[in-house]
Amino acid sequence: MLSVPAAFAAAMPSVVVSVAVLVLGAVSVLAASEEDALLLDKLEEGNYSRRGADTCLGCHDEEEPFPTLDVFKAVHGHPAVRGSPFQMESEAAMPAGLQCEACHGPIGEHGERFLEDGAAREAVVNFGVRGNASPDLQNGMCLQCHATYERAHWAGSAHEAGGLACADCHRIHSADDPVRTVAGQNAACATCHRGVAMDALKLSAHPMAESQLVCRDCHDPHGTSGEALAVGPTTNETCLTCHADLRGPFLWEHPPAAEDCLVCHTPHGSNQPALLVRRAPQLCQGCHSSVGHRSLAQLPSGPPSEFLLANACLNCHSEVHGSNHPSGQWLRR
Amino acid sequence: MKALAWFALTLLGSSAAAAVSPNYANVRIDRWQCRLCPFDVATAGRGDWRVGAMQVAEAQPRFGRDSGLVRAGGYLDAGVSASKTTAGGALLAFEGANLGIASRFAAFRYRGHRTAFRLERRDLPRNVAADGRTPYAGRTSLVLPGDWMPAYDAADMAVGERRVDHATMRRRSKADWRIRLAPEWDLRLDYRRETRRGSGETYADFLYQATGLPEPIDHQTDEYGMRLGYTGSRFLAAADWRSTRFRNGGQALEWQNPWLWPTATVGRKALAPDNQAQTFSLAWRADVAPRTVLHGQLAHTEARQTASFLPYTTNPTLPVPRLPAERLDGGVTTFAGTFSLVSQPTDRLRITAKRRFRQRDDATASLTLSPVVGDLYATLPVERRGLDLERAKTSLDVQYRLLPSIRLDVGTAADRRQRSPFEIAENEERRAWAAISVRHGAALKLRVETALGDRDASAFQHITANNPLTRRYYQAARLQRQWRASLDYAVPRTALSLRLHGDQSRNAYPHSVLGVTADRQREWGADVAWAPAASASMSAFFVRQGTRATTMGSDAYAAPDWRYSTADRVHSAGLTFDWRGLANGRIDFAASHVRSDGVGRYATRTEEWAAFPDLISDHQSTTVRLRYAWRQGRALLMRYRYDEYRASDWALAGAPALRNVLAFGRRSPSYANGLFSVSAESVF
Repeated sequence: MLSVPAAFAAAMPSVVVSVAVLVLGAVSVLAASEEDALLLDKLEEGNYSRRGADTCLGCHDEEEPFPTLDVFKAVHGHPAVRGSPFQMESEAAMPAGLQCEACHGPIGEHGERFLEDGAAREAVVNFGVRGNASPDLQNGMCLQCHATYERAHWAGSAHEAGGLACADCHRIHSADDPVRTVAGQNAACATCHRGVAMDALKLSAHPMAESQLVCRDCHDPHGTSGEALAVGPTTNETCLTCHADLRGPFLWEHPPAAEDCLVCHTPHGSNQPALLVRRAPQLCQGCHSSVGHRSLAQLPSGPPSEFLLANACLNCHSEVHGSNHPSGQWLRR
Repeated sequence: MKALAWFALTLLGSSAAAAVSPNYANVRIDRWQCRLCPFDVATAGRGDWRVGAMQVAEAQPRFGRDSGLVRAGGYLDAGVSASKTTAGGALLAFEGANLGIASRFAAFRYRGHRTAFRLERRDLPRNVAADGRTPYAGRTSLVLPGDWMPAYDAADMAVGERRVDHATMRRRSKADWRIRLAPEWDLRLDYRRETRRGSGETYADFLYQATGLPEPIDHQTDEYGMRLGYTGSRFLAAADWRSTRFRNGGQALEWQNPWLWPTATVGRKALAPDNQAQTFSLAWRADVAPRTVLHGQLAHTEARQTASFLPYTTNPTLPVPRLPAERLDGGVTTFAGTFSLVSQPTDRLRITAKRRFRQRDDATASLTLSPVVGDLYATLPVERRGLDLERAKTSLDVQYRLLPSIRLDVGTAADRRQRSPFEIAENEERRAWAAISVRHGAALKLRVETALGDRDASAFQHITANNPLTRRYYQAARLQRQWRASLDYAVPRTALSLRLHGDQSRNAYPHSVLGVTADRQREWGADVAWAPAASASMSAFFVRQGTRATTMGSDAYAAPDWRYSTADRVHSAGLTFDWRGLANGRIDFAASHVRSDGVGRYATRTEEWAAFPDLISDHQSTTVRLRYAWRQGRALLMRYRYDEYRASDWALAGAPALRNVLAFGRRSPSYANGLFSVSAESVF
């Protein structure tokens, strides 16, 4: 067998070429970093406005193409919600009550009334499609308030390590945050996870296409201790939340079912029945020798085999998740 | 020790300042008035309701598989949402969707300063098929018609026209109450009841003659949970207790033997036994240094199952020993945990170390039984085999910001699994990966990643009746290579964005003489989105997914003498248009078309390849939506959806020809069906 170092060595030429191309390409986009440094300096300097949101809303009013004022339709813009940026007479620690600057950082010279010809307005921290700061910096602003125990596993999670910013998924200047609604969540996740969304249209799938199940039913995008952001401590515990009939323990266990549901199933959708990674008998014969169970292709010519058709192996061994029958040794009862 | 060294190194290096540390020393918010803030918007009630009718053209179970729109005719189309935030900051909200159809959803929530609760009800229909036929009547005791003529051959049996609905309905009710005990402490209590009722399809055999049986499904799961959470400035923790009870309305399924075979006249199989489980978990996060976080979780689950045993056999003429116990008294404990350390010692360097483990102990008392095969003969005594499992995975990932917009990522992991007793008692997989990411603001994101995995297997022990040349693929030695790449690019000043992604995983099983010897998964796709105006957008996407596997087989014990080739590929493509504000802002129009075209190609080879007919599942769906606002806050909604579905499956098509399987005679669904709805909407 090829060892890992040897395999890496074999793949190295293509890796080196890829790295070289990317490094050269990236030299032209270094400007992004300067924005972060400027914004961090501004945060440390702490040059906040004298009038709070009244300074900002003088320009960012209903004429603004981006719906700035819609922030007041949601919890962030409510004057009485504890800890919100717009909480008046706030008892909570800052940034509660810091209004626009709670999230966008100190205004600094961004609010200068007159600019020289061609001069750009000083940046503030922006999010989402207008995002000018790194995901770390953007997320740092959000986590000033939202670092609760429910996000205990955010650091090092797949989304955090992958450079995802909170505003890549969440909408703040909006009455409803689509990713937090039953109707909008799957579509929001599909922006990146297109293949998963398409799995819902396959022959067998969990009911995701019309949002009967949503991604949050099985995954926590803010990080978990389980694999693949699964909500349960193990993959099987996640599946057993809904499929409790398969928990057992059974008199006769089927070891792969007890070990990991994903040995046989692919959870989002499959070209085969019952979300199987392959169909029976081929799937079963990945582990069980076929002696005495003729399952060669007999179609379209030749006699059909009960080991291939209808439920294939499951015509007899139907209790593949385990059996509690004293005579269910071969998962037949 | 290596991991500990990394931990120490990380902690020593983490003396830099925090990433975001705003300076609030000079801000004077007591002077801020917020006179321009439209706070009246914040306290205004808002919502919408929709009521109308929808018409489904044809009765097609698969069309309404997840929605319940399975019969032709009219349905109520209704939905409502309403929310109100009081001047004091308390939120009351209600949402109801699909209220006129089987997949209805309703939720009510309240959120105040100290308490919040949520009530939720969700119905989840699942309609798999309605064209199966069975001669049986009854539910847990299946009876043949009085004039049933047993036969040796299924072709000589008159199945009749009694329909089997392979359909279930889940009804899920949840209540969640959250109380803020103190600024840092909160308590959450929750309860969930889920019922699942309906019928499925199962099979059972008398030795070599199998019968398709309608399976009664009458499940109820109750889950109670309690969580105490603490949110401090540098330490977060949550202790969670959860109890689940599963109850099955039937413990056994009995059926009359339809075959002319001298065994029992009645068969009996066990249904899923009642069970219960309790989980206690503790999760935490500690900011151990300014840029170093340690977080983890420990979870202990104890599952118990004590359902009474059924007798060995229904055959009264067969002498069988006494059962060694009345019930299993089954108990399995699972202890799972994760420890993660994430540290950013410098602005450029970031280290993530994780240790994840899972231990499954089957504490069920050992039993020796004498199973009866096909209610015909007793086998030699056999001892129940419990599965103990241990898994431990350790990983280390280092990210280095080479340039401000370029990040390199390398890592390694060791994943060890031990099981007892089994043929392969131990696997150890070592993985290594490398990735490069480029990000330029929100305009460009590029990531290329490669990974290699090498899984070793311990010496094979021939302890089952399986052919010793076979290696079970989830235990077999494996070499894995993966590639993954993605590019997101927003073309400047054009409102055009592009996304390309692809990934591939190849596995080789070099020590598997029989069983899976190679498999591969591959996916690539492209998305394009363009918004020519603030009120108009269009997008298109294409995804191609494919899996392949080669399995070696043998009809004898000596050597492989045939092999399978299996290949599934699915092409998905879609197009959407969205125009808002046409005709002076009165008309919104949206249209989408999605196609998912799946093909499965299976073949076997002995001396030459023999292919099965293609497995086909080709799904196309077109939806057009029109919203006409005749006055402020009032609109007429029209929706038309047209679906075409075409499937072909040789396993279903060939089943009626089987002589020793009394199958349901189901066919692959193929249909064209439409849905039209008109409803009035009011937004307030």
